Amino acid sequence: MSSSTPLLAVDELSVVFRGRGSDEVRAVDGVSFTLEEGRVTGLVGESGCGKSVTSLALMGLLPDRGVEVGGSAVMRLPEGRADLLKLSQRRMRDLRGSQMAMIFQDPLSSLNPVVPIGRQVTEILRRHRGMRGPAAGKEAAELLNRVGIPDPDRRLREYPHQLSGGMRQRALIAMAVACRPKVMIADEPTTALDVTIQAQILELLRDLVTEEGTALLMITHDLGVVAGLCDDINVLYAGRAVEKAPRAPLFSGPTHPYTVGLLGSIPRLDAPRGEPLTPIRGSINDNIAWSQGCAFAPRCDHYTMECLQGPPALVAAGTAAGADARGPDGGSGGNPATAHVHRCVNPLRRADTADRSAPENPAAAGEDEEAQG
Amino acid sequence: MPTTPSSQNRSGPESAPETPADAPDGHAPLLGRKAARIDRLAELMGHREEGDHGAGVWRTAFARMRRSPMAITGAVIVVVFLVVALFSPLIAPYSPTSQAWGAEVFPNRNVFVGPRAENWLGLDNLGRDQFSRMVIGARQTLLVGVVATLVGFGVGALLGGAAGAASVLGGRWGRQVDNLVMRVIDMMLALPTLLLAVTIAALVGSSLTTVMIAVGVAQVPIFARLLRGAMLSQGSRDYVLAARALGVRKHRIALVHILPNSLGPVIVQSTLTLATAIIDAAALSYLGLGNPDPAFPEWGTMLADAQRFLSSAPQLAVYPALAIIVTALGFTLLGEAMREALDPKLRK
Amino acid sequence: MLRFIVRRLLQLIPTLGGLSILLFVWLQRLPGGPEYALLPDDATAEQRAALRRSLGLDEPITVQYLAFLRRILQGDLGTSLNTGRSVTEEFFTRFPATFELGFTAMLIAVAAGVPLGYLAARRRGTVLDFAAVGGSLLGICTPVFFLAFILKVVFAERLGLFPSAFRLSPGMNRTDLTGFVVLDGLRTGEFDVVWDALLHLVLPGLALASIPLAVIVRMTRASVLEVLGEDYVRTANAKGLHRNTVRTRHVMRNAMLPVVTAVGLLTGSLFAGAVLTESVFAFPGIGSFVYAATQGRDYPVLTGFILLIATMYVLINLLVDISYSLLDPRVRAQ
Repeated sequence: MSSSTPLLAVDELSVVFRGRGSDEVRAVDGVSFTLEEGRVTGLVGESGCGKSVTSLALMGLLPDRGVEVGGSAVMRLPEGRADLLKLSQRRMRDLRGSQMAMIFQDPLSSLNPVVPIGRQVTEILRRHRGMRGPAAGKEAAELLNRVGIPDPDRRLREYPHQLSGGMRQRALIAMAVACRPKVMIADEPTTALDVTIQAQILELLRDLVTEEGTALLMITHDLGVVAGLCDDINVLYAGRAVEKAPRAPLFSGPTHPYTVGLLGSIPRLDAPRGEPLTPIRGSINDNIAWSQGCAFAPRCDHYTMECLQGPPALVAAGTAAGADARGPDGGSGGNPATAHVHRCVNPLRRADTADRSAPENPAAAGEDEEAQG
Repeated sequence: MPTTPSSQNRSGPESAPETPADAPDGHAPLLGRKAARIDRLAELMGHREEGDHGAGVWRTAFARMRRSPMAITGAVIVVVFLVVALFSPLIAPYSPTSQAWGAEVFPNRNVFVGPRAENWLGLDNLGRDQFSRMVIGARQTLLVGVVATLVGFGVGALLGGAAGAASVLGGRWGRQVDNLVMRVIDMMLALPTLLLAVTIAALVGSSLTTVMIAVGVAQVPIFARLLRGAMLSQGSRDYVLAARALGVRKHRIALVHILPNSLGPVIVQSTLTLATAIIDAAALSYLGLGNPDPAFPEWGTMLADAQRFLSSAPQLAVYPALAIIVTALGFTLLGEAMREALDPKLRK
Repeated sequence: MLRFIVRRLLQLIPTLGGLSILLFVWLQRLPGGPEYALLPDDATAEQRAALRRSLGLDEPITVQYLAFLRRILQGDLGTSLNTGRSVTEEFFTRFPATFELGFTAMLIAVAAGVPLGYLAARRRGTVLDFAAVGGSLLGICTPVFFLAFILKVVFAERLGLFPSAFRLSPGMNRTDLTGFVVLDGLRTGEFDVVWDALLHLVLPGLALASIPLAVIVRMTRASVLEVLGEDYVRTANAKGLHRNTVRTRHVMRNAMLPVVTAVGLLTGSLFAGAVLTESVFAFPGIGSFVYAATQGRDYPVLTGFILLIATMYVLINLLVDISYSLLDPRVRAQ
C-alpha cells in the first residue's frame, strides 16, 4: 500500500477448530495486522479471544489435525517473500528459532524440567547456527548475560526448578533472541510474574526491540503492558479485531464499547476514592456469531437493533463523533498502520468515554442512534 | 467453575437493558423496539442456553461416556453378563452337574462330544452339558468378582479413608497414624496380588470363600492408596480450608466434604477390580486353590480343569477362557471409559 | 547421591521387619501350627510335642520370633517338604533360569511396549492407536496360564516352531559355569547352546511378557499424550529443533519417568507370572518349583518364596528410585 512492504503482513487470518463430531469453533475469524522492524504491535483481549491461537498459527505450532488455517501471513525472508501459512513443515522448522521466535506465558512449564538450562540454550545455537561444544557454551553464557542473568556459567548448569520466575523468563528470552530473529512473538510474557519482575522483563523486551530492530508482537490482556510497550494496538474480541489504532489515539479516544470497557475495568490510582470500577459484564462465552451481528452485543450496554443485523465492518473511527464516519472504507487517509479503525455501528463518543461512571441510561445512546437511522 | 459466570450472564443481557424500560419516561414505541431488540438477542444466543454448564461431574461424565464406543461396548458386555448370571437357573437347559451323557465321553480315548442340537456347546469331560455349566458358572464368577471387590473396597476404603482423614485433619498425631497405616499398606503392596492370594488360600484352605477373600484382600492396598491419595489432594483444596475456618467439625468435614469428592477414582477402580478378581480367581483355580466343589461350576475352575484336555478337546478350555476374557474386558472397558470421562485433564 | 541411597536403604528396614512379622504370624497360623506341616498326618501327640520342643515352639512368642528372624538373616529358609533339600539351596540353583526368563519377558515388554505406546499416542485416534489400546486391554484380561497354554499348543505342538518345554533340548551338552545358560554359552563359545536356550525362552518369555507389555503400552501412551501437551514441548518446537531432537530430548525423556516406575512395580508381579508360566512350559526355574509347592502345600517353600519376592521387590524399587533421581533433577533436590 504505502512506501515499503511490511516485514510481516497478516491478512484475514482465520483458524477453525473442528472436533470429531462436534461443532466447528472459529477461534480466529479474519484478523489482519502488520509487523514492522523495531515496532511493537499489541494484540489485546480477554482470554479466549483468539490472540494466542493467532500467534501459534503464525509460528505453525497448531496441531496438524482438526485445524483449518485461512488467510495469509507474508513475511520478508532473506531469500524473498513467503506466506508462512503455506510453507512446508520442514521449512517452518528452519524458520522457527532463526527468523521468528516465541516467548510463552508460563516460564516454568515452558522449560523442560529434566534438561539443564545450558542444554536448552545451546540446542538452538547448534540447530540454527551450527555451533558446537565450548563455542556454543560460551555463546550461551553471553546470551544469558545479555538478558540480565547474573553468574551465567553457574546458571547454565542448573535446572529450571532452581531458577526464580523472572530468571526463567529471562532464560526463555535468551533462547528466543539466540539467533537474532526478525520477528518475536511474546504471548503474555509477564502474566505469571511478580509485578516488579514484570517491569524488568518489559524493559528488557523494549531494549531488545530498539537495539536489534526486531519486530515484536505482544500478546496480552494487560492494558498496562500495552500502554508501556506497544506502538500499535489491535483489540480482539471473539476472533476479530474490534478496534485498532496507534497507542496514543487508542488510550485518549477509544471508540469501541469493548475497548472502553477494558479501560474501565482497570483500577486507577488517580481516580477519586470510592468511584466504582465499570467492569464488562458476562464472559467471552456469551457471544453471538459474527456472521449474525456484533459478537460483543450480548455484553454491550450500547447495542442497537442494527448491531444484530449482520456482521459490522471495520471502519475508520472519526475523531469527532464517530457516528458519521460510517461507510465501507473510512478513508481518513494516511498510513493504515497509524489509522484508527473500529468494528462498531454504534461507537462511543469522546464524551461517553470521559464519563467513566456507569451510564444512568445505558441504552439511551443506542436509542438515539436508532431513531436517526 | 463454569456455573458461576454463566448463570449470571444468561440473565445479564435480558435484565440489564430492561431496567430503563421500567422507568416512567419510557413510551410505548420505544418499549416495543427495545423488546424486539432483546428478543433478537435472545434468539441469536438461544442455541446455547442449555449448555453443559451446571451439570454435575457425574452427569457430564455420563454424557461423555454415552458417546464413547469403549464405554458402550463395555456396558453391553457387562449387562449381558449380569443378565445371564442373575437369571442363570432359568437360562440353563440342564442341570450343570447331571452326567446324563456320561456314556458318550471317554477322555482317555480322546472321545469328546462337540456342539450339537441338544447340547449347544457340547459335553465336558464327564459328559455334562457345557452350555448349562457355562451359564451357571457365570453366576459363580459374578459372585467371586463382586464379593472380592466388596472385600477389597470395604477394607481398603476403611484403611485408606482413615489414613487420609487422619493425615488431613488429625494434625501431627494424625500424620503418624497415616504413616503407620501406609507402611503396612506398602508391605502388602510389596507382594504381588496373586501371591498374596496364594498365601491366603494356602492359609485357609481351598474353597470358593477362600478365593473370594484372597482375591479381595489382595486388592486392599490398591483401594487404600487410591482413596488416601484422593483424600490428601482434596484435603489441600480451599473448600476444606473454608469449612475448617467456618468451624465445621472435623469428622463432618471428612465425611461430608472430603470423602464424597474423593470417591471417583475408587469407584472406577471397583469396576476394574471386578475384572482383576475374575482373572485372579481363574489363576488361583489353576494353582489348585480354587473351588473344589463340582456342584458349583466356576469359569476359572472349568478352565483350569480343561487345560488337561487342551490338545485333544481345546473347546473345553476355550469356552470358559473366552467367557473370562470377554467379561473381564467388559468391566475393564467400562472402568477405563469411566476413568477417562472423569479425568479433569480430559474434560474441557 | 550416596546420602540418598543410604536413606532409602534405612527406609527398607521397617518394611522388611514388618514383613518378617507378618510371615511369622502367618507361619504360626498355619492349619494346626507349623508342626503339622512338618509331620505326617498320622503323627502321634508325643511326636508332635517332641517336635514342638525341638522347634522351640514352647518358648515365649518373642523368643520364637527372634529365633525365626535369626534363621532368616542367616539365609536359612527351612527345608522343602517335597524335595527334602534346603529351600535356600533350591532357590539358588533355580534362580538363573527364572532370571533369564524374567529378563527376556521384560526385554520383550519394554522393547515392544515403549515404541508401540509412543506411536499410539502420536497417532491418537487412528487404527494403530485403537489396535494398541484394544490389544493391551485384551492382554490384561487374558489369564497368563491360558495364554501360555495356547502358545504352547499352537506354536510348539501344532506348528513345531519352538520347543514346548525345558530350558534346553535333551542331549545338549554344555559347560556349566554360573547356571545362566545364555551367559555361559556366550563365554565358552558354545553358540549352539545359546541358540537352543534362546529358542526355549521365546514362548514362555512371550507369555510372561503379556501383562507387562500391555501395561507398558498403555502407560507410555498416556504419558506421551500428557507430555505432548506440555508447554516445554511447544517451546522446543518453537525453537525449530529437529523432530528427532524434540522426540528424544524433550518428549521421551519426560514421558519415560512414570514408565520407569511402572517397570519396577511390574518386576514384582513378574515372579507371580513366572509361577504360572514356568509350570506350563516345565521350565526348571523357581516358578515351577513354587507351583509344585502350592500343589503339595510345601509351606517352607511358600514362605521362602514370599520373603524372596518381597526382598526383590524392595531392592528393585530402590533401584527404580535411584534411576528416577538420576533422570529427574527435581526428585534429587528434595
